[in-house]
Amino acid sequence: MARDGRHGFSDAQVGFLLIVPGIAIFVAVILYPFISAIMMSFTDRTLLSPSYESVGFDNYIRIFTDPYFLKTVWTTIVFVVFSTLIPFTLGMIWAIILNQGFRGSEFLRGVTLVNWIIPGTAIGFLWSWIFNSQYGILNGLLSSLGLIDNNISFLGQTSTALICVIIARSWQMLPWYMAFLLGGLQSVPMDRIEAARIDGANNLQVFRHIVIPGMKQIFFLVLILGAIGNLQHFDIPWTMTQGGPARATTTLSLEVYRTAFQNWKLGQAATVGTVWAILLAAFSFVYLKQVKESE
Amino acid sequence: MKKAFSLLLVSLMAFSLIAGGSAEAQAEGPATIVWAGWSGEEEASKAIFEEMRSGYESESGNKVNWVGWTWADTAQQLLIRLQGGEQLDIAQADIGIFNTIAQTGTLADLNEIFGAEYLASTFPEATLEVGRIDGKQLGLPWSMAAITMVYNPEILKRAGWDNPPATVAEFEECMADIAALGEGIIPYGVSTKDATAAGDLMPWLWTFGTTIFNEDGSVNLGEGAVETIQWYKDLLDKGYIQMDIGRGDARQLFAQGKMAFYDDAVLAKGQAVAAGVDPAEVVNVCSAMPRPVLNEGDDPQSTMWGHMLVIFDASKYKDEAADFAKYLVSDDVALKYFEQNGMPPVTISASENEAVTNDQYLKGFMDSTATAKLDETARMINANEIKTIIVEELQATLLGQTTAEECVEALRTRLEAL
Repeated sequence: MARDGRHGFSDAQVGFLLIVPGIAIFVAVILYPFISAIMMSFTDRTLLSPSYESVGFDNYIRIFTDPYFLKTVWTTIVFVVFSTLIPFTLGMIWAIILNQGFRGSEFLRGVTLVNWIIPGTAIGFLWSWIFNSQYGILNGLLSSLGLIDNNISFLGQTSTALICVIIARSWQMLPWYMAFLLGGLQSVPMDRIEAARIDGANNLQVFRHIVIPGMKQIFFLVLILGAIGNLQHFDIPWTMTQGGPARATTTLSLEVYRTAFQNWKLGQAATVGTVWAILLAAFSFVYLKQVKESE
Repeated sequence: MKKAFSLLLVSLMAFSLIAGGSAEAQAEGPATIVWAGWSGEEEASKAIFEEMRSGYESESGNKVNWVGWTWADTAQQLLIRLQGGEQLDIAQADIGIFNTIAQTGTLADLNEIFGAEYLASTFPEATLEVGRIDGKQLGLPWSMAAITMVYNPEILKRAGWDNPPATVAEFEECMADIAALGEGIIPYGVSTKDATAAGDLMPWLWTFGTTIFNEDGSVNLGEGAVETIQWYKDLLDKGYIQMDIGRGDARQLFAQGKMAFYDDAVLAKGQAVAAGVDPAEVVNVCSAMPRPVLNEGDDPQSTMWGHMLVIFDASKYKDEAADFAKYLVSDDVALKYFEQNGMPPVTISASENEAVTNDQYLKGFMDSTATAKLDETARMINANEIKTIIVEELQATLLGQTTAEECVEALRTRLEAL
């Protein structure tokens, strides 16, 4: 075992000392709050009183027998699936366009990133105004084109509210997917594409047989990371609809906030949070496995 | 030598800690009190709050630190601050926030601080009652009136109505006439969106002869409940009310002359003035009215609205906080608050002032206050949860997912399960 001549520490000891601050921060900032939240989920703790009692699995039984909670899980799944696939698809199309390297493509790439830089709450308000039933630009446009006689309450209908939220979230995240996918596109070996073209392959065939297999890894990682981000997302649904109407846009993140900071039930909120964390862990596990395999 | 030096250093540090601690404990002089709330964050009242704070500072020599949030965040921020043990001496609380904070058991009994005699001689009993829980005076009245209906007299005139409708039947006729104007005006901006939707529904339930809860806290929702929900649904189907309208939306649309009626407190004036209406002319476009009744002779229904001041039991500066509260409700300060923001004063002396009694705009609200009731959830720990349930079930019916009967049944089931 190698030793430092002056202080007598082995390499392993030095290595351990170097990671101690990192471990300490991890324990203080992530592990302790996480374990504390899990423990809280077995209590009736509220924000109204510092005293609380253990309630066993009551909170878990309560949420899993609550049809509204199961609806929330379903809404979360719908939100995550569409808010991931829509910007992924559009981001891929946009990445292919920008990858053509035409004049101004770099400028366009920069401009596209703007929506990703804007804070989620600002995007929520922006799209709320676009979809507003009274003075929204979308109603104005549809009305001036003669497509509608009466304004549509996009955010006030259960059939359209979630779609509006997904559109806003997709608009926000499109540049993020585009940036990753563009990077992936640029890493596809050009010689293989050129060889395919010489063999007479058209664009679709090149995309299907060379680009997709070449980007399989990045597709997977981007989709998993995107899904994790959407599973955690809060700002846009909250600012646009606050989970309504009739819970149509209530996702798990909103449910945790509402239970903790509107209903004051920290124990129940921690229960929802734990279920939410388990869902996240499943995605994270797949992600980490893939990362490990790719190494 | 090294050991001796270390010992000396440790002794010095320990001494300085003890010395510092006793110096702090023995420090005397002006107190720094923490005042929390939301109005000092709002553009319309920021200036007057700053004036109140600095006025008291120069008069008393004490310092007041303002800690503010948005109204929607105030209750949760106060709770977090209380649980975190941070300094809180005095806070602004509306009726809903007041109950939530009172449930924590952290509020001081003002009878002990001000003395029952001062309270009884300064405030009308009805306003003191709002801040009293289980015999303890936990809230000091600051500004109170009713949340009632507000209408735009100019729109009503155009629709052929010189006076606001007095009965529900007349109200429906009036809304039909407004819709027939074809000006794109929303007849009634009852809230259908956020927690305010539950608040707006309550006085209509009372109008139709029922309540959500019985006096013992059990769920009531009598026959009038189905009738009320069905009435809402009919109004929506006829285009008299709309989905996705909250209090904020209603205020904006009303101020722009795109809405004829909505429910609000005295704050409605501020929106009209902000939209460019001369304060002296506000009553021409924004007047309070009694809520239409089901049958002639019934009492018009409205909800009690108001701001109170609360003092925290754990405060080191309870006396200074009480002194500051007295300053805030004093005639000069309260009348200035009224002049600048339209907030009606509550002390007996200030409310008898000519400027208050002659104010035509305020009169409509004060008339409704006579029969105003507390929000049914105002004394309940889980008020927010109840309101969320009410709004969710109401929305489900308005959107055609359930019938009025199913709505009331679902409400009953969910409220009884709490």
